Amino acid sequence: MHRPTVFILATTCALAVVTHAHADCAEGARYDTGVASNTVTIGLANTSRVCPDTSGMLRQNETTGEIDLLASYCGMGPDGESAYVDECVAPGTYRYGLAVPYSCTEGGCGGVEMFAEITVASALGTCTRAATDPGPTITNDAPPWGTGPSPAGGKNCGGGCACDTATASVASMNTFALFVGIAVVLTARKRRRA
Amino acid sequence: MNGALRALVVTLVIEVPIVAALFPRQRLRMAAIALVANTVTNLTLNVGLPRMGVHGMPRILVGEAAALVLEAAAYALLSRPREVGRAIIASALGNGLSFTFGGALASLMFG
Repeated sequence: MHRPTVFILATTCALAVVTHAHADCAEGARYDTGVASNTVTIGLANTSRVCPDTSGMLRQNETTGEIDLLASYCGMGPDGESAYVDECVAPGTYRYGLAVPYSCTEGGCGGVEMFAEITVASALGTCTRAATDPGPTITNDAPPWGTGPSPAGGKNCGGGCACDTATASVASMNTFALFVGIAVVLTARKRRRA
Repeated sequence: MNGALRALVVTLVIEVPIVAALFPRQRLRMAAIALVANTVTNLTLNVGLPRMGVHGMPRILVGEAAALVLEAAAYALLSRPREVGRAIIASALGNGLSFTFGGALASLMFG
């Protein structure tokens, strides 16, 4: 048998027996962030969750450890998705993330982000929030990523997430297409021989 | 490197050699076509669809189906001579492998 044929058949078998792909190269739910002067935008990307989220968006100052709950002041993220807008943020490095983090059922496979790390460099100066933005409030809630010095920024979904439904569907679709392709090639060969 | 760019690099690393290997008499030409086709479909999946408000499972199903069909069509129409069966095999193999093993390869490449 030709080497390419063996390769194709072996791969077909491999794809056919995949019941739980553990990852893919489609992105999972994540934060899409932007910084303009002292305004931080945290978009909720690849998820059905929108701002204001019922759990709230937390902000952790990496230097002081202070945890704030952002106001439900919403706008549009860099990619046009629903986003939290945090105005008049003092210079520093912060971790932003939902109080109830993305779960594996919220879109994408492979993993989801726990928080986004953002550095604001501009001096605060005189900054005025929009009239409808009450600003963040200090909270004692521990963020879901913990209070340690270097928390994990993401959560690996592995198998067993709702995405497995999509994963199985995509694997089946590709396997079916592979068989169709093989059938077309074999039919064309038969016709040439005849 | 952001997530969409990582996903694109991983997809190209997996799919372009597969297409080149399956069209041995026109390797360079088909590799270039695969490069362009995969760039378009992958950016549509990871950037275009989210911007259009398509997220989660619908994004994966629509994006992966579109990638399979559009890449097969590109390979079939632009191969010389036209080889429809081989084009479908190349698209299905490439997309199947990058979907199944892309995450693991991304971990190896980018940590």
